[in-house]
Amino acid sequence: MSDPCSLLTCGEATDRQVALEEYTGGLPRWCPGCGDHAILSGVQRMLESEQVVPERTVFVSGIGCSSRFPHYVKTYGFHGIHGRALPLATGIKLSRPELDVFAVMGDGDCCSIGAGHWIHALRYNVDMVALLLDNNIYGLTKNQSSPTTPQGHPSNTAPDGAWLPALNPLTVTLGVTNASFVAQTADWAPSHLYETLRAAHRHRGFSFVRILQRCPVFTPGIFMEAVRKPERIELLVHDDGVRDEAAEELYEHHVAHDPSDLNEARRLAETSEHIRLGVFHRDPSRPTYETTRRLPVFTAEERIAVLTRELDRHAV
Amino acid sequence: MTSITEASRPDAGNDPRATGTPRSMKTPEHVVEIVSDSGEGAQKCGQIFGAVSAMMGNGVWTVEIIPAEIQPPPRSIGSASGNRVRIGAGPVTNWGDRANLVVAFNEQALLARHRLDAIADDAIVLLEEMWADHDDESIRAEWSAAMEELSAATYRIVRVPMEERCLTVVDDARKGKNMFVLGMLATIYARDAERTKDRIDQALHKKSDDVRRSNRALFDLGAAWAEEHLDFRVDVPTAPNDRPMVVMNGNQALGMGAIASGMDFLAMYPITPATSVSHYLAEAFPRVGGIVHQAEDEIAAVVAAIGASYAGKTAFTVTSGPGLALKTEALGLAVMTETPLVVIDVQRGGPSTGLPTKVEQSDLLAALFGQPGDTPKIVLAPATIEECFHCVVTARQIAEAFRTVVFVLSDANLATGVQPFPRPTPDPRWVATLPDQRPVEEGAKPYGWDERTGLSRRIVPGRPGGAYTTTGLAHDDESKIDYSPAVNEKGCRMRSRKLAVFQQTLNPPPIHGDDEGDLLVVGWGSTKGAIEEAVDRARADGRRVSSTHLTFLSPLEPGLKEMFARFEKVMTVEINYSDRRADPFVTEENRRRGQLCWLLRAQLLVDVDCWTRVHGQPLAPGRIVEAIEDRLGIGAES
Amino acid sequence: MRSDDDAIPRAEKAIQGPMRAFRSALATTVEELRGIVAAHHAAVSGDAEDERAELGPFASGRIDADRFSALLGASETLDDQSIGAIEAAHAVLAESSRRGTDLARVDVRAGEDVCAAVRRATSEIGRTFGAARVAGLARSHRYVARDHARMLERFDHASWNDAERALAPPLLVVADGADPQLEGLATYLDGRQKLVLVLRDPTPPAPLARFVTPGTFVLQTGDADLLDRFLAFDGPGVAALVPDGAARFAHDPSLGARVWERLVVEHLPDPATTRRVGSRSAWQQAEDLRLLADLATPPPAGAAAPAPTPAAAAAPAAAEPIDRLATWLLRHAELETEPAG
Ligand SMILES: Cc1ncc(C[n+]2csc(CCOP(=O)(O)OP(=O)(O)O)c2C)c(N)n1
Ligand code: SF4
Repeated sequence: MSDPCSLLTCGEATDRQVALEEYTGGLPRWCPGCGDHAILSGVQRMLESEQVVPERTVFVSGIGCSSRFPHYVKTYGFHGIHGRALPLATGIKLSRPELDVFAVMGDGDCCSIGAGHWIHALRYNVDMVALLLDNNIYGLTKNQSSPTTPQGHPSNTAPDGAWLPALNPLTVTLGVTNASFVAQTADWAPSHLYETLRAAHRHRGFSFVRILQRCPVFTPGIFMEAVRKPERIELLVHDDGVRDEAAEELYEHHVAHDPSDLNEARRLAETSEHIRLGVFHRDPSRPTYETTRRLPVFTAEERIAVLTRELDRHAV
Repeated sequence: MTSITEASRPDAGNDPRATGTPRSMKTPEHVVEIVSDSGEGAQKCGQIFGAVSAMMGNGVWTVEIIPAEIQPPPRSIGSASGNRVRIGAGPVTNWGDRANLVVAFNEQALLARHRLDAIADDAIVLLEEMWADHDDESIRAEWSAAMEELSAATYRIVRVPMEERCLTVVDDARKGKNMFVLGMLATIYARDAERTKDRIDQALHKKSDDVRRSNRALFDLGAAWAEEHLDFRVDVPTAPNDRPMVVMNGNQALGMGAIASGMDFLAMYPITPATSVSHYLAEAFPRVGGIVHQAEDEIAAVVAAIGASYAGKTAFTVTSGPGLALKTEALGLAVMTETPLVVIDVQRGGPSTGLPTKVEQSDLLAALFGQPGDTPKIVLAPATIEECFHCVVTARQIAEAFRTVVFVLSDANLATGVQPFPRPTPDPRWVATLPDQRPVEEGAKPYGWDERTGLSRRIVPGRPGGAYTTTGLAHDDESKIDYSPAVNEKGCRMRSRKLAVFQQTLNPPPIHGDDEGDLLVVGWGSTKGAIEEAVDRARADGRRVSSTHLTFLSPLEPGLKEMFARFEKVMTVEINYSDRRADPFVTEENRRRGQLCWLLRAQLLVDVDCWTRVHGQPLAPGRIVEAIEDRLGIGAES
Repeated sequence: MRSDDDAIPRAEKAIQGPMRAFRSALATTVEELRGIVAAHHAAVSGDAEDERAELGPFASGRIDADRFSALLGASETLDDQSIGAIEAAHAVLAESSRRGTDLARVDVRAGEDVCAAVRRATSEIGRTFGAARVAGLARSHRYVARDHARMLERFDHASWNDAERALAPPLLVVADGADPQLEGLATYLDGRQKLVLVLRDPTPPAPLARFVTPGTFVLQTGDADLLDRFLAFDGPGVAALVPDGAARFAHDPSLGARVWERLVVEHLPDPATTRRVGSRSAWQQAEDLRLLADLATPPPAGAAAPAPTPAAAAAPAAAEPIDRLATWLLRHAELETEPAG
């Protein structure tokens, strides 16, 4: 927790215990079986276990099925415009560093229209949790190819299958200077999801988590194999990453990966026959942008004194 | 015929270098231009001359002459860089007509101004003569060709051995010629030498003592040379005033206004001519805890500003045409979510990349209507550099009180113009207070609209009991997404109502001149000084013309329809595009008019005409007089 | 070693950074309350004077401030007692904010003991916490004068909660020849409280020795540059800038689990040379030195070695810890590239 920004909040009792239900917002309107439901539960569980203070938390999103997320969490929320969740969240955190900020995006949101912001948000390294709910398709607008759609997978805009090889969000992320936390998990591995979210929240910096998300309506086939065949999954395990007994039991393939090893992280992030879940990279030493840029607050009186000096400098 | 006085012919008949008592020209105003290759310091010279003139009690308007490229080839037409300084016995509100005195560091720079028709017929030109006998043959040829072209004009050109004289003090005359020129100007205009040298020291405060010393020496040298060799002096009477004054350009004024208003956060992406606001603030803002966030693009900039404002800090963004285009969608978001936001648009020539460094007033309709869907917002335009400072305080206050977007339309003319104005008296009440963080009262809603006014109180994050989700989708007063007809109708009505309410707080704009007459000129933004000066001149010639200047463009100030009815004709004067009536194929029905004209006709059902130019320059009062006479059926213009 | 004379300005400079969080929170509070007070008065009086001022000169003649404030409608108002309390709290906080870094400077008056001076300073700082508590209660209509008014007058360290203790600014205590009884200072070592003492001769050689506890940063040095590292520590601490000849050591809780891992002694005067200073006897001072030597000495490897004599302990403690000091300084240098706080 950062310093209280006002003495008024200092005086208030902070020992209130927030119950899981208190994080429940509106009734989710996602399709039945949509992976977003499981992600929402995982997030709420994490909020409760981390005792995140609801009124000091903001969930920010863009536009898409996934971007409805803030409406379903009972904290502050800002459901913005398509692709711009990250700059919105950046503005919030830069000006109110004491707020706990989450950004929720779809793959179109983050990797296509918002791709520029994505790169720069990684570089700014503002302390927040950024969740990419990656269903490999445009859901809300009904089945158009996204940058992460597997090559050959048909959609309404590419009926004969996506023309291009899919973008790998992990290698992109790990290639950006100053990336400080990169992880991948899946909606169908609830305990791993929860542990990953927790690690992301605890990391001080921009925590990027790609969550493989099933869209039973438009991409039912894409993750089917991964769900049915645990041997397709390989877990990255390390004490500095994520340890999750349930997942380690279910998924027999493990790689011991030290998240401080960026080169190894990049290698593991390459597309392969395995889907790798876990923390690829974590570097807590990177300064966060809101700390680097942080300035104290001044009173009106002090500001006027500065202004007076500024006017002196321009006096004739 | 232009007369040229050469150094080798000191006894020429009309030689202004003759010794003896110089002729003094007393005049209520004078326009001087100093032009050089970029990097030779003409701008610094002009700025100091302007500041000293202001200190001595002249009205002053200084404007930069900016080359189109960063490092244009030297001695080319495109490299003319410098300042125009207009000084007057009374207040000076614009850059005037044509230059009465030109100091040129090379003949190409002079030619550039000549070709732009920027020089008065009877102007005196002080021209560096080193190029005439330059070793390089092609330079000599260029000189001759230029003299040939200039011979058609009627200027009086005086050759000055700037380089030669400067080399007696410094090794590299390129750095320092400007101070020599400043010295000449100090002699010509009887500027106080000590004050000028203080100003030189101030301008060079980051340089070494040696540099300051040699610059002062060059100044003395120029002053002495002029004393000895020039036969004319210009006397623009000064009226020392006791009011403390400050001098700055419009962008510095906007930046300082942001400090005065208690702004915390500027998010921007570099774009001429808006960027210098952020240059100023990058240095000064941190002293009051303010952040300048240079975002990855304009979309990120405006969105980050919306985020900061949503979070309870006061935020703004600064941009110009192309950047404004990118911010469109996000501005709709700010309007829809009723997030206060001040958007400063320093207009430049368009469309597209257009004229990056030049003035235009072409973003008015984009500001009003540029966002899809109904996006009511407040638009205001400062008319002077002083107003650039003060309007930010007001804009910030309105944005927060009305939970809306407030546009401030400045332009390249104000951005680069430098003018002294009465020193503001800061009031701590200008400064935004920090948002209330107390628990939200029972029953309070994020859009608890007062049905009559559309106003509601904001709940910023951090307040216990207030957790809700802001959304750019249609929403009810609890910020719940709702597409039902009634809810959407209501949301639109509430956001629009705020404008009607705000308009009720506005006073009708004053009329410059009589309350009725043959012609009313209507302007907005930076053209005020030139329009009013033109109206004064026309009135002095007996024309029944008045003007009014609009500050609020959305909503429009009240009382216009009634005001317009008292004049035979109404005409806007603007720096944006309109078809001329006589253009081929142009009819009353298809004629595309100036942007304010368009707006006034649509809103007021009055037959408003327009006279507009897109010549990339501030309007000169003389041209407006011609336009007035033309509309009155006197002149010859169409 | 730097000259003694610039110890104070250098220490003052060092505490400015850590002061910022407190000063910033103070300024935030002042501005929040200014907003509440202004909104209340605008709503109650219906007077447009403030609105006119807030809109600034640009609005004059253009915007009718009376209509503007009438249309904006009333914001929330508070009862007389609450707004009175908020105004009183605002005054206290604004005054403290104006004092700036002075608030953290404690000059021990002649004849006063250091602990009393620190008590005086913490109760000044406590007033800001007390005022903020009053304002917090009043703005949510929970303020009861009978129970709460006294917090505006006095709010001693004992009443501070954890958040307040964590936010309290460092104190710079300038004790020129004051009586060196410092034990009472331990009361204040909690949260992130830092005490920086500037001591002048005559001073005992190890006045801080008895503050060494597992979670407290204790620094006794002549080099004010070391204060940055001390002040960045996320916990309580006490430091003293001492004259030449005094012991120089650092106890940095982040260096290890055992006391000898955490304690680095750079210089230890011979316990035999101590002389009475103020109320502190020569024996007490020698005890301080022996304690340091003991703490800094790792237990001998293997079976029970005889307890080292003070002189024997002082020798290795002076030799071997030089390396460890170097290590510590090195770590200090590395850590400097990290963000503070
Ligand atoms: C500027 C803009 N362009 C396009 C859209 C239409 N649009 C809304 S959501 C979306 C893509 C949704 O896909 P994704 O981001 O992957 O999220 P999902 O719905 O799959 O969760 C698009 C193209 C829009 N709202 N705004
Ligand atoms: S369309 Fe797909 S992603 Fe969208 S809610 Fe339905 S299942 Fe989820």
